Amino acid sequence: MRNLIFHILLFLILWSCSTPENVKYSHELPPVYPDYIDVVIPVNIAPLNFLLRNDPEKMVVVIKGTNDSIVVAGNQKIAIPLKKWKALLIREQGQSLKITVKARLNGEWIQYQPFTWEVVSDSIDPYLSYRLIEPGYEVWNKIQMVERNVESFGERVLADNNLTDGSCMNCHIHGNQDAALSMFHLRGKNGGTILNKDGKLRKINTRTNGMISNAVYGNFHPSGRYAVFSTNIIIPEFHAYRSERLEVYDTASDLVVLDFDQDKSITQPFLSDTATFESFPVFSADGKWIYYCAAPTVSLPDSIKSLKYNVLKVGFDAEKGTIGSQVDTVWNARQMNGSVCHLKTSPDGTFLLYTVADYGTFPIWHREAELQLMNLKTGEIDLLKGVNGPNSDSYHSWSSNSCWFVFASKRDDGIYGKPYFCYIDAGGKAHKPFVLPQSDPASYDFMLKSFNIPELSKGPAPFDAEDIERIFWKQEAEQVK
Amino acid sequence: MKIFSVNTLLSLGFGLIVFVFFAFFYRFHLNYQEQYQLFLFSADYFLKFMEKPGGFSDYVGNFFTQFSFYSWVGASIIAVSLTLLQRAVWLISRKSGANSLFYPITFIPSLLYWGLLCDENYLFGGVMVMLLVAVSVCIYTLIDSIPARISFVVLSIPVLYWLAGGAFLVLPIFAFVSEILKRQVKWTYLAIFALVVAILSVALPVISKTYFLQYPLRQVWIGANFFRFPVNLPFNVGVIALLIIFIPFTLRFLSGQVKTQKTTILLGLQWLVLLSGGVFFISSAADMAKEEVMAYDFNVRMRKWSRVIALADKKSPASPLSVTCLNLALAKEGLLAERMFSYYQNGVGGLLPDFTRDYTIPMITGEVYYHLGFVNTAQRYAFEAMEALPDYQKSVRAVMRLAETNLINGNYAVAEKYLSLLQKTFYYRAWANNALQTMKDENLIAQHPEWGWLRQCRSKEDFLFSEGEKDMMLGVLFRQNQENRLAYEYLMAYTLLNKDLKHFLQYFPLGESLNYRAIPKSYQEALIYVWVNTNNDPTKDIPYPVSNATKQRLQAFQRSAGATQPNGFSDSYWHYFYFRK
Repeated sequence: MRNLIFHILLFLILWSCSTPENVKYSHELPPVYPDYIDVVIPVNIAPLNFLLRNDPEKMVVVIKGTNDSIVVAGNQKIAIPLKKWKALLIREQGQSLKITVKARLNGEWIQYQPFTWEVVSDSIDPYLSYRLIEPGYEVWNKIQMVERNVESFGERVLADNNLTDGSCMNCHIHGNQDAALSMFHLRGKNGGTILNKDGKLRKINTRTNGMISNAVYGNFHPSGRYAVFSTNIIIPEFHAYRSERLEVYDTASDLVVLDFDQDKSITQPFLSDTATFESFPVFSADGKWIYYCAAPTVSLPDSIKSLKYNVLKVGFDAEKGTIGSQVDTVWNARQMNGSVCHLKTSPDGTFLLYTVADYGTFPIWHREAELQLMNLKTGEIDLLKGVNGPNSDSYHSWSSNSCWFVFASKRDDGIYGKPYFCYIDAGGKAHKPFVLPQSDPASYDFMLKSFNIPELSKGPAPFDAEDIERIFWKQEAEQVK
Repeated sequence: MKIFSVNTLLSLGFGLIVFVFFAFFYRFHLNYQEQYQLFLFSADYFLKFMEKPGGFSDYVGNFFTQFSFYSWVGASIIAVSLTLLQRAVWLISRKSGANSLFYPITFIPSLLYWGLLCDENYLFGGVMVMLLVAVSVCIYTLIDSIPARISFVVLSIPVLYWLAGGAFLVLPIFAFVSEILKRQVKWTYLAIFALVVAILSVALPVISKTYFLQYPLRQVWIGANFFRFPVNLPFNVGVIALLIIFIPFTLRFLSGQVKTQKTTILLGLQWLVLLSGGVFFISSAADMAKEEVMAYDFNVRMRKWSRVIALADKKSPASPLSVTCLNLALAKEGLLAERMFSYYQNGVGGLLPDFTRDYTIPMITGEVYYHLGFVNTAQRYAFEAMEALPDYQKSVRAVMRLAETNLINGNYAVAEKYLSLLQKTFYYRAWANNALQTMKDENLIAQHPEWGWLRQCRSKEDFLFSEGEKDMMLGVLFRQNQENRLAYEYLMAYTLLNKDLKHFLQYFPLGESLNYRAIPKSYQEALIYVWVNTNNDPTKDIPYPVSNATKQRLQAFQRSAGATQPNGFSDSYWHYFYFRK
């Protein structure tokens, strides 16, 4: 009896996996979600599981390389076996994988036009941290800082506001994409800027006398000793028109460099005057320059649409710990008729990646906000037409090899941001981006969180949520002078 | 043939009273609870609850709470649960040696939980915790074999901890006391049992916190969400849980003391105390003022405008939020300008309350903005209200509103996201399916009586929302769609409530496009009042068609103006103008 059941089951399994017959050929590409059609992927990425939007009864996907292939079957979605996938990518690096999708719809098998995944040997940094938050307005609920291994589906929580009295937390950034150097701000009564240096956590009160606020947007100096920050008085306002949502602007903003070794702040009078708003500062890859966004002050909110940020740069001497006095314009907002924010220099010093919106300083709710890539050596600007989506693309971060960058894109629905990876080849060409793969590709459909401020790093952060809980409640903040 | 014992009938009677209370006198509290969760029939939703101790109880609590969409169903569930709890306490007491003479005492935990449920912040998952714990104690009392009993307790601890949270302690404490009283187990074994139980009880939450859970230790200990605010310690629930231990042993002791000849007096006395105490306790616990606001809010949510007005006709609303609901209902029925001063008005706060970072006021205010055509503001208020929920749940009402606002704004991808969530609910699936069908056809949206209209009412130009300039925003909204009667009447009401007659006069002519058959009552009263107080030429007549009756009424009002509160004018604008601070 047992034998009979076993054989029936075996037959059913084999029958269900058998090759579809009487297949009709379609000239169309399959309706895959996420959009993984003809993308370039790094050799170390997790399986690109996807689903079909036309709700098939069954689907069979053949992922074929020059040397090997994987066949995966599913109903509306597929889950590619991790081990086979990794082995395939390693064997096929430098090659293209051909993906053929067959789907059974209303009892009829259809084979769609195949598409490709080009596997490049340039790896992406394997860890991605982001903030998971509801894309709200003023009120926040549960916020988590999460670290995801992009080579698998492993995820762990780095900080959870459930453990820190509901405090807001933001902007987890690494220095040199190094896991041993990172920081983020934890707000609230027991908050401070949490600095991770070689796994040792410090809580720092970054606000000194004369500063208009605590440190807000920041970036590490390549040495790890300094970080440059903007200090901002941030005001949210709400649009009445159609899909326009939230406008956030500064009524005052300045720049400051913090020396973490000596716990002191460094600035220049012209970086804290009231005639100019300064924001989103970053160091150049060699640490000799500070790039930042700056706009002449205007009456707000009335003149919000004429608030346009330029890209400026000023010298920085790491030896002496001084900021220069000569300011150069890198990107002229008036000439370019836009407003820049979120500057990020590539680790190899070649590129400056930034977001351009029509106006203002908060592009995540600007549908027109797009990424642009400036070659710092030639001054040439790539508008990244093949990269930008119909909605806001912003908050980007480089991989340590400068071949990849990740950015938060709201292209799917205009509200919920997701991390997209984009490849820059040796010729400087940017390729079509793809979204962070999930073990269940349908999870994006039901997820009510935005992936905020994605940041790549070479290794896992040496702390977890409990460490943050401890430092929040039990450690006094060190005061910057 | 005896089907039910007297005690069983008394339990059924208790259940019936609980049902009647919640189904007829406190039903809007149940509707209120239902809107602040989004129970999904999906494995992910279930697993998310099962990830933490007490999550199962929360899940089952939410499962039952969703049925409070129809309050009589919710009332039935509460009645059955509280009755079962009482029966479980009685069973434990009986097995512990209690005399049925003390049956009334076993109602106390259920009665107390009934009182807790009168507070809208106590969640139904707590009742599930009590039931789980009580049932596990029942099972313990039903086991005769000592090793089986002890093994049951030890093995149940981790399971019960995961299903019910920290309330699992009731079982080992009860078992320990019970075993001491029974004197069937040697002291050495009892000490070992106590030690094992103590180690398990301390270790389980600590291990869970260290290895599995990212919650503060206190929450890991408590487990289930008894209260909507997880930061609050549920002391009251703890007392009820302890009563499950205390009552059986107390009754066992009292049963040994009682003299048989005085049983009737004792029983009567117990019932007397229980009934009078119960009535006093429940009437103190019930907040009928909140029930009134919830009644207004529920009817607004269901768009039962005439019911809102009927509520006000029965008893004039006293709370600002009820007034907000009433004003919206009056406006939707075309009666705002005519009748708004027939009811209590608390200024512009009762028309469009200011934004607050909580989950109640923005939900109600968002209704007003939605029906006015401030679709984006309605969306923001729904989103913020949901984000403000302290127990991190989603709100089905807010998700519905977000689906609607995104649909109206043409953000179909986002609308679909919310609708696909609603498709996984019990009561809202059909609505979501219908909305998804409508969304596929622009004509269907245009023809939709609400969405189509609101699409036309939306602002055609951008401006930033300004809390302090609501009249300006209403003016802009009306200027862009001069058929938006609601916007006009809210604009006028805003000026009247603000006693800003200068702007009232300025905006009044804008209403020409709405083709009123006659100037509404409150406008006539304001117009004639301004005219009388500003016109210096007695030969001139007021340039607006104000009725003679209104003119004569103003004269009468002015004649009696010396009185502190002239009688017969409380429904007039003049009365509001002079006497409402």
